[in-house]
Amino acid sequence: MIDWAKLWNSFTFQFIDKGGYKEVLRGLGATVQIAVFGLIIGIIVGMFIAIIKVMPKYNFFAKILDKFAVVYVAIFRGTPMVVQLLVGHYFLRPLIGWTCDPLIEAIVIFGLNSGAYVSEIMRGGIQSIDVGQLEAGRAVGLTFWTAMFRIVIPQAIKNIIPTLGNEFITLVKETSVASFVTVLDLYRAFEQIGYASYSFLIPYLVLALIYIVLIVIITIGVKLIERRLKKNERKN
Amino acid sequence: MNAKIKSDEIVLSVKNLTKNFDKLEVLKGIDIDVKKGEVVAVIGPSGCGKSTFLRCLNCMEDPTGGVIMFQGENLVDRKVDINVHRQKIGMVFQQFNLFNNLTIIKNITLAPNVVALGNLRKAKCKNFFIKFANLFRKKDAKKPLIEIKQTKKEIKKANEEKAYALLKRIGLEEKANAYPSTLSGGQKQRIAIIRALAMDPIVMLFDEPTSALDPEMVGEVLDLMKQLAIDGMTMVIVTHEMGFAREVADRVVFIDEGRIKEESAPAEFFSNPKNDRLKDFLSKVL
Amino acid sequence: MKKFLTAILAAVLCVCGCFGLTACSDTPTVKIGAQTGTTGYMFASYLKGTEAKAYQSPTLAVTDMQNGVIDYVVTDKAVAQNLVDKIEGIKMIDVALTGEEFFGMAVDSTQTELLAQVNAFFVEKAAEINAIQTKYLTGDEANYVAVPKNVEVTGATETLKIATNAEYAPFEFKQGEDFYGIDMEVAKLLAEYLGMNLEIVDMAFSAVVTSVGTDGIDMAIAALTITNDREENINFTDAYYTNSQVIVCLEENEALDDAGVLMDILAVLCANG
Repeated sequence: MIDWAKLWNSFTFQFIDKGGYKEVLRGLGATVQIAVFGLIIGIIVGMFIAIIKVMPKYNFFAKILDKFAVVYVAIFRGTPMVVQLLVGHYFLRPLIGWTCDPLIEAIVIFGLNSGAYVSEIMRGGIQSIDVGQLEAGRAVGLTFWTAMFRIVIPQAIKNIIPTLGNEFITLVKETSVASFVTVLDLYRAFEQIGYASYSFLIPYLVLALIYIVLIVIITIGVKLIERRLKKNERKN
Repeated sequence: MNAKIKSDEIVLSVKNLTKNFDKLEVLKGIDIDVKKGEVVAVIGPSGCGKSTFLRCLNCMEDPTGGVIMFQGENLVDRKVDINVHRQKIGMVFQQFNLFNNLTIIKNITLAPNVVALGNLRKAKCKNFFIKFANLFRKKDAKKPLIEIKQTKKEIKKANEEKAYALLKRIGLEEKANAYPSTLSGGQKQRIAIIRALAMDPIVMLFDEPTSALDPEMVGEVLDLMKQLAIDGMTMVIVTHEMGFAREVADRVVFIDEGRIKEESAPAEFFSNPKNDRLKDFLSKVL
Repeated sequence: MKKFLTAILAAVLCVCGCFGLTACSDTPTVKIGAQTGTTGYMFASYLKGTEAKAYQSPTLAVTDMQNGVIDYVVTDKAVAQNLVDKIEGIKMIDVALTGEEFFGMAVDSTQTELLAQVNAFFVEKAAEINAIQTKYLTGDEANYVAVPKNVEVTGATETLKIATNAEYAPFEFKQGEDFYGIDMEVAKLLAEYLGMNLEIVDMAFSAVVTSVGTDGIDMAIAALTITNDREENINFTDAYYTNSQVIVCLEENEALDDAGVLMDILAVLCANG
């Protein structure tokens, strides 16, 4: 039989009295940082990869870029997040003599991974914009990239905000494997409390609850952004 | 229109223009010279290639073969910078294609600003290098700097004033800060026309400009186009509006099966067609 | 076509079902859990007629034992004693499973001077080290000293960066933000002795030994047993603790209660082999 009272007591003892909450806050900070900066990097990288895939391949250089984009997406969509982190940590790090904080390393790898997925989202977004928009931009003398960035991309992003929000949610949940490369994230903080209190039951339940709350907050945030953007469109 | 002064200067010269889509030959050899100030109407049955022909003129479709001489360069040649030439070829689309994410005033000033500011940046860069190289040159061998006539702010202001003037001309200046989604089709198309005008084009191409409009709005667009013709703009118009063609065009061209089958002044074209297919087409349309 | 496909699907399901049943009806082997990469795990995997399961730490192994996933846990004696004190319903069988094993600290193989200094430290500070060990082995919690992640030593210019796996009470464990344990307090003492600041990097046990020499990590202090294959990549200091492996099992499991020596235990565990 599970002695809830005792388990709860040892949990709160570790969490409050022994300062476990400080590590939880630190872990929460790491999780949020990885997710937010990872998404930002992902959007930037994804935008470029998407445009490379969409642009007319007139010269040799464009063709090379396209092949590169295909390989990039295949690598990052074809391997699990954990594997990417481990390869980054145990192979890339010594190879290029990278000596930064593991948190930065995690942000970069999550960002690159996210970039691959966002590029597909962005590509769909770009292709959903009427081709006439790009044509009109080019007909008036703008270069392909200028027309893309000033006319098509802004409209595409508005359309893909809900999907980007989903990507962000996925990213937040995926950060739980960052502890594989010694980053102190939310999951690791609770794991430590579990060790210190010799029971993992309550720590992991609380961890799950916190993740749910985080995701709900993000979902509401995305809906608000969507609504504001739609309002702007109807402005006269 | 016969009242304006015409010149014999050829602004756009097309020789043996061909266009294939994979195996399908759409244009089989078009030859045409467009003179300055001339209004050329292009008519023909659907699928004859008239829209393709128009879109080849500014390389929205890449021609498969032939020569298009504009501003002294062959636009078909891949090495030619088409963007520079497109700045002087205005295009008006059937679906208007106003930039939905920008206000009307920004729609009109976007391209002029981008182009002018780009040139400004290039001039400043060149000046930097000239100044640097001049340090090593003797006094009388020093190269002069490129004159910069306007600052960034002045450029933007000038372009905005020009845009407002254009809007005023069509009576839509109160819509300057509106978004395209709030306007009617006729308003959108007229704004699309002045958006093209803002770049001071040498020739304007119209791809069935009134085909997507409700009947009551066709008139206002045609009136604007008529005004442009009177003002001396060189225009190539693909259209189904025979009345407009008869009234405004200097020359009417009939394209069928990828070739020009008949070409003459409107009076002769409509009252005395020689080509059988044209006779057939006109009998169905008029 | 549809009927053919349904027939194939049914056949595949039947075959899978048969496999499943046969797997379940195997005579149950004794399952022993141990921390991955430890000498205890190696012991468990060599026993005939048993199945060894790897865990990230002994605490997780014990939790699984309580949930019935495994039957026994093999771990270091001091760790076992601590687990038995802190968790209800388990007991330790006080029979040494292996000969004497010794703990050493792993030092980056390029830092021979540091190695010499640490060995000297063991000799000079033997009394303090013993006091710390006794404190933890007797469970004198009131006197535990917290060791933060970064310890500043007055007048220190360099930092001693050590790797550990803080899931191993009483040697190294974490409560809140601070580290506790024999190894941790000795590490602090060592840093003060060397006149260096201390930085503790906590990581998975499997990463601890390989991390020495990378990212500026000078030593690994993690209750490491001195073994030959570990010595290929790092240099061990002299031994600072004598250890043996023992078995932990559930209180109600009486199978090993009469065991006095290793042979008795093997007789019980390997009965199915």
